[in-house]
Amino acid sequence: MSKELASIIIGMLDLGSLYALVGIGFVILYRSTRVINFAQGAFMLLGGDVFYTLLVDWHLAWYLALPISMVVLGIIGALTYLVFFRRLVGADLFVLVIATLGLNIVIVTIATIIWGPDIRSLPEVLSLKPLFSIGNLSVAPLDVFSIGLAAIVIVLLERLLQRTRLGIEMRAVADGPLLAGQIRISVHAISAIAWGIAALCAGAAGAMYSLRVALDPAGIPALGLLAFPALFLGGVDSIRGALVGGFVLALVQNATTFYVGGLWSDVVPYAVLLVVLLVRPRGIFGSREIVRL
Amino acid sequence: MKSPRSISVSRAPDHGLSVGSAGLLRQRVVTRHSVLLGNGGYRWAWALAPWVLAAAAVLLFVGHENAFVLLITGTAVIYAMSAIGLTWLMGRAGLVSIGNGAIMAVGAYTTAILAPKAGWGAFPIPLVISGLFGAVVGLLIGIPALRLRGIYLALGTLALQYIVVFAGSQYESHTGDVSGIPVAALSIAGHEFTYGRGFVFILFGFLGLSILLVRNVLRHAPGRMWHSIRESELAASAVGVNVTRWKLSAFVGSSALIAVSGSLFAYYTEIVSSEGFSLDFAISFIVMIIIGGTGSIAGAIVGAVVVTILPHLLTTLTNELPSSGIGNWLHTNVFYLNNGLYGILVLLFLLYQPDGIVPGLRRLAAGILRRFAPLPQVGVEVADNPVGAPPADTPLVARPAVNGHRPAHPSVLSVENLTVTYRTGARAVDGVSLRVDENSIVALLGRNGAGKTSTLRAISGFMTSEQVRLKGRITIDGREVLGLPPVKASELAVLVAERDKIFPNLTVAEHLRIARPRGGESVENEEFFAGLRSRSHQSAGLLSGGERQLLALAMAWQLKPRLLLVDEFSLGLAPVMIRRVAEVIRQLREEHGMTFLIVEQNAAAALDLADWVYVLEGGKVVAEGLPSEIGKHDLLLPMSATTGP
Repeated sequence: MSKELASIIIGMLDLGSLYALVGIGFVILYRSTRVINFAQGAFMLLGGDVFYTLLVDWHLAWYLALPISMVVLGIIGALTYLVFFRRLVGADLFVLVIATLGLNIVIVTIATIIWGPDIRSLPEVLSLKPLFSIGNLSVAPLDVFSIGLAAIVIVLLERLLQRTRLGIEMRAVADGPLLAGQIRISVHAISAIAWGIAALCAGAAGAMYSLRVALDPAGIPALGLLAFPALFLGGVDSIRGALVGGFVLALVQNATTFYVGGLWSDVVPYAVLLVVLLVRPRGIFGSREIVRL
Repeated sequence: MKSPRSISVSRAPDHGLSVGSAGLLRQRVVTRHSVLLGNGGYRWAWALAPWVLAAAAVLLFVGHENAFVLLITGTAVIYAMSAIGLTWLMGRAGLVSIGNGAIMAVGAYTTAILAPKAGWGAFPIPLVISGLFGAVVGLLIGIPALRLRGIYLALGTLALQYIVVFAGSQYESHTGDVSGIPVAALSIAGHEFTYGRGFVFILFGFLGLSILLVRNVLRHAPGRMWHSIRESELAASAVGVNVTRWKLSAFVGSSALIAVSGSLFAYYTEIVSSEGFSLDFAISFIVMIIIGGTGSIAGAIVGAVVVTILPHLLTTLTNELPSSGIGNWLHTNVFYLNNGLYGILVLLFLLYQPDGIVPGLRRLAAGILRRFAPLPQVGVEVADNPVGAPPADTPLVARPAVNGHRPAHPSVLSVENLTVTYRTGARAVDGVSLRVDENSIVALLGRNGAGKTSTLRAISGFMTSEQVRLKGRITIDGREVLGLPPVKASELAVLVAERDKIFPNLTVAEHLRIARPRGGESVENEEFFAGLRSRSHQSAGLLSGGERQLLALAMAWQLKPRLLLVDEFSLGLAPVMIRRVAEVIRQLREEHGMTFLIVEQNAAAALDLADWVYVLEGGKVVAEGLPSEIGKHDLLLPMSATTGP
């Protein structure tokens, strides 16, 4: 394996697991509330910020700081629903999209006021030095951890959605919110949980990214937006789709960085998005019905 | 009981009322019209007020000495033009776009590139070519829009945003103007215009032209075409609207206008930089049209002014405040707050004033006008508020005669004087009273629109977003349920709806799992469920109409409500299936002690099942009685003739 290929592969796995995490949260939210959430990037930033505070200001160990910040984000996500979006249940899709765009701006503004606009780097609590190598492919503890965390969260959520009563209720709410209410499912509680899960996943991704690269108040929301091309490539209502789309897009981006240049890697996803929208709008695994949106 | 007197159905007065209210409504419209047209003062005030206000604003701002105020005014005017383009596309043609910034960038770059070129740079040429180029780009995004709609279209335009900005920054690094391409000042006939008053005057001229142009286009045939497409593409194409052509023309026209505003923006700021056309910039235009009022030209202008000026107002206010406490906090954070202000605005508007400023003001103005210059007729006032005014105190329908003897039983459901009024002002149920006894089946019969389903929904609960107004009393086992949300009402009464009674993407087994209280029994071993047992792991969306009905009844059985509401179970079912479902309902009552209120258009099916029947017409109970007595009634003939098996 050549050095380039090795670094493309490891880059794909890291970035792909990030997209997959953000994307899973998105899919869960979409599948239970039909909200297309443009504020996932803002939740990522908030996750990174909370993680930073716990780790640097409160001197917590990373393995405590990470789950706590995920829980905090989950609560913030649920509150977002209870305070704002509860009032928009049943609104037009378009209104919901604009509202999440507005929410994105509001959260980024609040985060900037609290934590400031500067790029901060976090202490290297998980080493980036190679842990083991397979040929030219050297894997650092942080790589193992990011990919592992994404895998665990995804497996757990997939099981939640398919097997548990809560998961079935979430899908029922997505299918027919009124009918769900009529058979005693509390639509508000379910929606708040879905918002919580979406924010929690995005928060985990934000913390991971901050550890690997830096806590970048402008860059992280933009990264969150890049999860959209990944999602639409995979299909917005499919967990499998979010995974495959995330990794394929990460591969394309890493390959672009190496063979064309880093500048292009930010625009290529949108070119991919355009092609997907034109050729197969429902994505690789999306169900047929989503195209009617 | 065969005497004609006992069948004293009071239909005539009811009709009298509906004709009366329609007449009143018509009268109101006519009166309003005659007030506007006949009374010169009102008419001129309505027509001229916006123009007078606009002229005053122009004079006020153009006459302003402060260069900064002039600068902001010019920016607001350019943004207003762009927002008008967007409101045309989004508000009128219903095509969602986040690509506004990208198209402005196309216009701005075209101008920046052409302006220094000899022979091409003379003033109107770059502007015109920018417009043409914008139209071409509009056509290009319009083509995918023929296939994509809603969120897909929005994401397509999001991709456009990134691609255009990327192309712009590539061009900048190619020419070496990394911090932006300078644009020569606007020069007309040797006279140079920079930031000052002259330029703002020109901008107002362009804005005026855009308003006239867009207003005319929207008021005439094209506006109607777009409106029909926005309402329903399918219906529009069915009546012969060429959807492809009109969608493309909305993109082309609005994009040309937006690109022209981008070109003016380039001249005005004298520099074009890819940094300026961020996603936030594009979103701020959507915010403008939403807070102003989507689809309205005045709304686009008001929105542009608010979004442009508010940050400056906040800064000024902050500077006035003492630098302690909140003043101090504002001082440190005003910059970030200003960056996020439009996000806060759009959230607030979507939550509390989704119509936007202009429609809101219009309603307010109409209200004030009515108060200070009351319209001449009393009837007009009453009709203006058709939902608020209670019906005349004297009941128009006397208590309907009872056909047959009903033994006294403990009652489960009691409805007293229920009225249901929808958001539109339509009163679907008007003073209905009824009673359902323990372990009985009561049927509610009536034609389409008689108020049957609305009565059931009032018992099972409406969602807040449906904005339905309820009056009267509904009690189940003595507990008041009127106005409860569905999830609370379902503790007592479960509704099997006419259409959405199952979750198409859930399997049969999953339905039973979520519709089962903790510790509750499973329906799976019940005899009536046998037919569905083999389909346990299939999606409910694949079930036939009859199977869906049985599944819904199975869920209801598990939930063990005090009262089961069944809406039109016979709809769309074959006669043999109707008999099967009726059999199950009877079995549930007799063997499982359940209590039913069923609604039917199919009189035969219901009369066969019920112990007691109410007949609804025009939102009122017009007859009630034993099924055997009601069945003789000629009132039911048209129903059973049209929809009976």
